[in-house]
Amino acid sequence: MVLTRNDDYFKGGLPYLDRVIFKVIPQPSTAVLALEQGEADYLWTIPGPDIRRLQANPNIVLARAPAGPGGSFCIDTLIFNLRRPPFDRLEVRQAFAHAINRQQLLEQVYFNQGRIATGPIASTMAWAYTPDVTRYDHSPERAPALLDGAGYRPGPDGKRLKVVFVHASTYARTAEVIRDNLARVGVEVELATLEFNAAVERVFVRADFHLGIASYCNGPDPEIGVTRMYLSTNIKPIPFSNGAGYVNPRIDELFARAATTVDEGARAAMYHEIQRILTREVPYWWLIETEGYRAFRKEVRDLRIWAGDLLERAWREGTR
Amino acid sequence: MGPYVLRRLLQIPPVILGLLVLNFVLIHLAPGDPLYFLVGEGGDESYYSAIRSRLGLDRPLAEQLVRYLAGVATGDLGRSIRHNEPVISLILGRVPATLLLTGTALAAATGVGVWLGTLSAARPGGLLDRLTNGVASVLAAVPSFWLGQLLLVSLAGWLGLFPVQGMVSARLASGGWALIIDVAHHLVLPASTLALLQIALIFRLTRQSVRETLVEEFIRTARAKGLSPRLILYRHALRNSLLPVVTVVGGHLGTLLAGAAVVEVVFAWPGLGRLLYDAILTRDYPVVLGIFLVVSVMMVLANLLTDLTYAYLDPRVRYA
Amino acid sequence: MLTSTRGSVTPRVAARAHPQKAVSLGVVLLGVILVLAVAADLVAPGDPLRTVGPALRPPGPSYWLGTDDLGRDIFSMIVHGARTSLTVGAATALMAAVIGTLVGGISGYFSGAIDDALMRLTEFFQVTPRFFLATLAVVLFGPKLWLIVAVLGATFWPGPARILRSQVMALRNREFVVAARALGAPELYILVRHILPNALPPVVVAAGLQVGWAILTEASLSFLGLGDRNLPSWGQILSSAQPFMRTAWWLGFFPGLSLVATVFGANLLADWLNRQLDPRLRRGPEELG
Repeated sequence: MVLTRNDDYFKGGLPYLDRVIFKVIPQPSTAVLALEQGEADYLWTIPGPDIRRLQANPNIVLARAPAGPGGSFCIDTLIFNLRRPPFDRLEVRQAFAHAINRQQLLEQVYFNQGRIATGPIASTMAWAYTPDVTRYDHSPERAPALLDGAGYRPGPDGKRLKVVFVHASTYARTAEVIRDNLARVGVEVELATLEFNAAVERVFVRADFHLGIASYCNGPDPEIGVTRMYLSTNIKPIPFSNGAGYVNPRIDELFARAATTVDEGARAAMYHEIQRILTREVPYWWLIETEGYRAFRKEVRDLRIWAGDLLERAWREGTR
Repeated sequence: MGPYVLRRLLQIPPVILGLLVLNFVLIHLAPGDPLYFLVGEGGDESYYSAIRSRLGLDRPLAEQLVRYLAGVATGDLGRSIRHNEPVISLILGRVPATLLLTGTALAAATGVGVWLGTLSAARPGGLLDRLTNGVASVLAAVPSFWLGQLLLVSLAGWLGLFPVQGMVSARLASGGWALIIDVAHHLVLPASTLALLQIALIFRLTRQSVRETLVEEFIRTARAKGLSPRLILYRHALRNSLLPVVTVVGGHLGTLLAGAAVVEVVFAWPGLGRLLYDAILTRDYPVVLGIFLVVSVMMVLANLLTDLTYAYLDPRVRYA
Repeated sequence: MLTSTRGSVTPRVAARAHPQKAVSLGVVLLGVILVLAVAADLVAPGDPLRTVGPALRPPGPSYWLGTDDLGRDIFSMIVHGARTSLTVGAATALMAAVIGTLVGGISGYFSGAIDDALMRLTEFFQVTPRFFLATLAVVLFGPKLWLIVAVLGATFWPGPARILRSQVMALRNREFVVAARALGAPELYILVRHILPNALPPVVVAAGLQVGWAILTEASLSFLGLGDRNLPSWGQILSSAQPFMRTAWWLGFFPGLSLVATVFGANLLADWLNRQLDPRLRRGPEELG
């Protein structure tokens, strides 16, 4: 795709660049090579393994960007299907939260591109966020008691229960870590790796899953990206709705009030209460607040990584 | 020969119709809906249904199929759901790149393979025969993507001899010779990858075929007439060995295109294979169906050619 | 008789040992892989997909072939992955041979309308771009190993079928068959008793050659991210090794090597069988004079 300079742009003299070419390179490692060799100037996502090498490269600038590929303030989130066993039991959800090693995920799968999430609202959305919530640290030794409490005792082969984890192929690595984590507490996780659309359809439209995963993005305001996941009125066959099937009238009411409240302090208090309730009930399990790197050649100047007008003032050394 | 050709020609339309119906049914049987990729996270039900009806996806399957077949008959392969462009123009836009890649690879592979195969057959068990046969046997066992990645990392990555991706440099502004050289430069690695794997096949076919021909009566006659070994080898043996080679290579068109698809993904070569891969991942039905049609028709024709050549060579088949 | 022209064109009696060596190499390669596959639980006990240590550790004394990005033992994954690859290869070839024999045998023997119909079916499957069909099927119905085998088996049989058909057609009117028919033997008996034993060997070879193809195709599918993630597979490791090609070479190198060794071994064996069956090649031109 080629964008050409708009000579009638409303800010005089801008933009500087004549032409911008967008290219899709399917293999991430090939894309990195293209950047390193100067065939490309700017790279949207960086494969984790290459971050360190790019940091060491004097010709390339690496910048942290707040968003994942799908929007802003995104949290990769496990979806528990609350409508059927075993996740209708709180203890099972808590056991999963304790068993999953998010530090391992962050290091090995996300290559430290992000933070461990604490709840439904991203920590970077400072005004609405609160760290004062129920935390579930990685302590797999607590899982067996919780699973016993829910009636899932080990069978003769040591296995307590089996769940089907439906995920898009992009989450394959995350899923493999989770499968290993859970195997250690006697839970067999069967991976159903599907292409993106098929996974979305199976989780959100047909609700035919035990465990799902999606990147939920908070968006500029919790009202846009958070509310939709928890409202009982939003349990419908639509992608990225209330996929867990979570129903809590108190939560419905709090979200409704927050939506119509103008005062930011008052709204924040409502969102804080929402976060406290949700972390107690864990209808979802918030894994990682994702953050990406953008990389560009040092010849490219004045990119605005954080803003929507990335290229407005950009220019490139060595060309006009 | 005439009636046989006519009979074979008449058999083609039902085969193509069958292929179309099979592919259509397969795709529509599967779970997943292309809309979710199109519309993304944000849509509501009315928005979804509006788009669905605009694309005709809400009609009964039978009606969609009839519409599709009627369209195909008039040269209309439908519109791509994702690109919102006629499928036929998308495909035709990609055909040149794939033809360039496969054509170059096939030409190189045929040249080298036939040459080495003939030389090897002339001295079975000789040093050259053993060496080339050994290399060809190993090459036949190498996965195309692995070979491509090895070449990519070594020749393009470490040594920087070739560009790592794409067909033309993004920055190239001029056309003419500069463009041709630039494309040729990009072509070297993907075409070599594809050619190396085809060489193995063609080499072994030629070698076997020439060896078989060398024991035929007419070769002995030629020898008895006192013709030079060189002349016998190239004029008589090779010429009579080539037809079976050509026909078998014709029958391997599918393998060639499949190899091209993987190689295109590795090197971000903008051909049919890449288009198909992207279309499959985004479930762009019309594009997938269109490419299947084009590739299948190509294979039907190649198959017809093979059969006719066989019939020409071996009359027993013709009268069977 | 033609000794005078045995110049540079026809060979001297040369290197008869070479094919023997090749088949030995094939047997050794396949044998090693097969033993590893069968004894996987002894050689590398435990779940091969579990994290055993630090991530991305290069080959060394504690992890022979290193660990991957999730700290899993590559050696263990390769040993267990051998099962997957060999299963795909063998099951596909078997399926292709069985379907091919049925279709090719019936088609070649009965000719006429049955032959016509079956050959249309054969052609139908032959012109279906099988790699693309497999890709499509996996994308549509999910990455299950049995599905991959089923699609490959269902698309690999036209080759053996066509070979068997032409064999049967050639044999149908040979003296011993005509004689058997004249003696009043039932058609089915003739087909099974007289024709198939003589026609089958090339089919076995053709199916044997599919083993390598099938393994490579499964690896290609896995490379495109379409493999079964519940099983360790070489293609799978190769696929996840792509981002590490330059930072951790051992991730892609060893599974790639295993793949090449297995397919190479299978091809050598199939070649050898082919040589055994083709009298002209077996005798070799040098023995004609």
